Amino acid sequence: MKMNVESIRKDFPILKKKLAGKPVVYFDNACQSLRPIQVIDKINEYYHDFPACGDRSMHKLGKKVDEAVDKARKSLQNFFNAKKAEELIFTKNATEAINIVANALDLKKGDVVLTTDKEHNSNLVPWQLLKEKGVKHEVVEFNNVDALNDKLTKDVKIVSMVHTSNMDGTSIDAKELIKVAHDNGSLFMLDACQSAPHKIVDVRKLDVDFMACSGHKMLGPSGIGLLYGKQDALSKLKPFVVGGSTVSESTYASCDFEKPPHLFEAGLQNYAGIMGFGAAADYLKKVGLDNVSAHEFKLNKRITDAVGDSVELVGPKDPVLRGSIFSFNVPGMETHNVAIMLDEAANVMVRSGAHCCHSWFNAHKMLGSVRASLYLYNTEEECDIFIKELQKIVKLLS
Amino acid sequence: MICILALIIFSILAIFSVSYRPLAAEAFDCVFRKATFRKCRTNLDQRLKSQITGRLLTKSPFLARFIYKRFELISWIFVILLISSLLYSGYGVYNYARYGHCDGVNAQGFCVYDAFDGDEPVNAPCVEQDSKETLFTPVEKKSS
Repeated sequence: MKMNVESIRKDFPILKKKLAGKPVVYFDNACQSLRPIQVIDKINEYYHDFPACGDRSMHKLGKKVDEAVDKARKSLQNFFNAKKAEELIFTKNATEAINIVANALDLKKGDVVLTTDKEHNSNLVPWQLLKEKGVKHEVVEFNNVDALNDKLTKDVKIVSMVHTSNMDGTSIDAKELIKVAHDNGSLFMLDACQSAPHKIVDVRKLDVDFMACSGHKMLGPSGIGLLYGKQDALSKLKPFVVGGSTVSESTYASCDFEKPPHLFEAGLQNYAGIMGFGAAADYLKKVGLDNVSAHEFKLNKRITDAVGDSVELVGPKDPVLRGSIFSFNVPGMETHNVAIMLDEAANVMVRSGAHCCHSWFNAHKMLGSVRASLYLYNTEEECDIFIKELQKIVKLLS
Repeated sequence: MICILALIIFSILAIFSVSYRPLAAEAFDCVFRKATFRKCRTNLDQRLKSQITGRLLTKSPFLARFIYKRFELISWIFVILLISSLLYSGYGVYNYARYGHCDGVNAQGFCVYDAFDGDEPVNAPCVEQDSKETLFTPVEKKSS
């Protein structure tokens, strides 16, 4: 079924509004997407209809919360094609999900962790901190199977890689890299923050051990994320953040831990966020992720064809390799200046700076880039506004 | 240079509105760092430059380019104008307090501070001494 952008746009209240008399051109989707009314209504439903505790209260409202959380978990299980709903753990965001794995996995002195050279700080710093325990962190070239093979030794316990780079939109061949890591006996974790909102991430087909993603990048609320763990991979994790909900019994001296997912969902949960996240997954599933990625490619190609040659592109020239991201620099201009000008001139909202990938920019002696990131509700007309303003900036000011 | 302008203007605005206080503090930090030969940490100068240029970009691309390329020079001109205007105002206040007129001793003519005293400024429209009617209200005089 074909995607109807005009009808999709009607679901997003902010797109009906104007700022300073001009429509909003939201091209900062890699940071955070907008939310459809279906998600907003779902969040409100919790606070309006059953604002109670889940997983502990026996009354009617508590039961409703449990049902809603189970439903959301089921929606996300379908979305990622996980074998069991219990393999999905709700977290605050993807950063927390990665931190859980980094700290709960029993890594010892001499163990090695591999990441790529294009990691977001969230998939870099948690591994760097393990140095204190004597765990080595090494970097391999992005999407290079040979480079990974060269680095794989028996000491490599886990390979943690970004699926799609938030900096330039390029993706790794996850299936191939996961197979290579598994052949070595290493676990594989996928940071799917930038891939899950835009293309199908089938955890069973990929055979990935752990996967992290955030709700706020895929039409869901902020403050909610997800950690997927294959059942046997989750069994390798020790309890990390513990307390309420993570134990079934306790004495003054000991406790009995719950099984996943509850073992890793400590304390009272963000029930409204979980429900909104489930609604977002249902929404994307209904639209179809193939439609989403085809639409984004069309828009990215339009922008690349118009201004790709007049700016310094970050990443490959072919838009099909960059998915929804058009990352660039205007010669002679600071990234933040370009972003502010686009905003002031025509409400074109883009991100500027290092996009939390300081390590890559530092290695390439660059200060950052301007990043336009597209999504299902963006239109060709919006791209034309962006193109027109960017051309003016390049022509007049650079 | 724009930071100095921003500091003066935001500091005055901050007296009346809380929302300008963080901006005034930012401008102060920027001026302080520049005065000690360091780069402005908050990029306030760059932000203001981009905001002004961005707004002009749709209205007058030529003016946007002109201002963007000569922003530092234009900022200097405005700083000089602002400081000289403040100094001149200060001099006027001193004269008014000391001699009762903006322009100093025995001066005559327009002085804006007269309005603060409840007096009418010196060169306000003439008023007939024994009448409350001004020249703008024609008075019909009967012939004897």
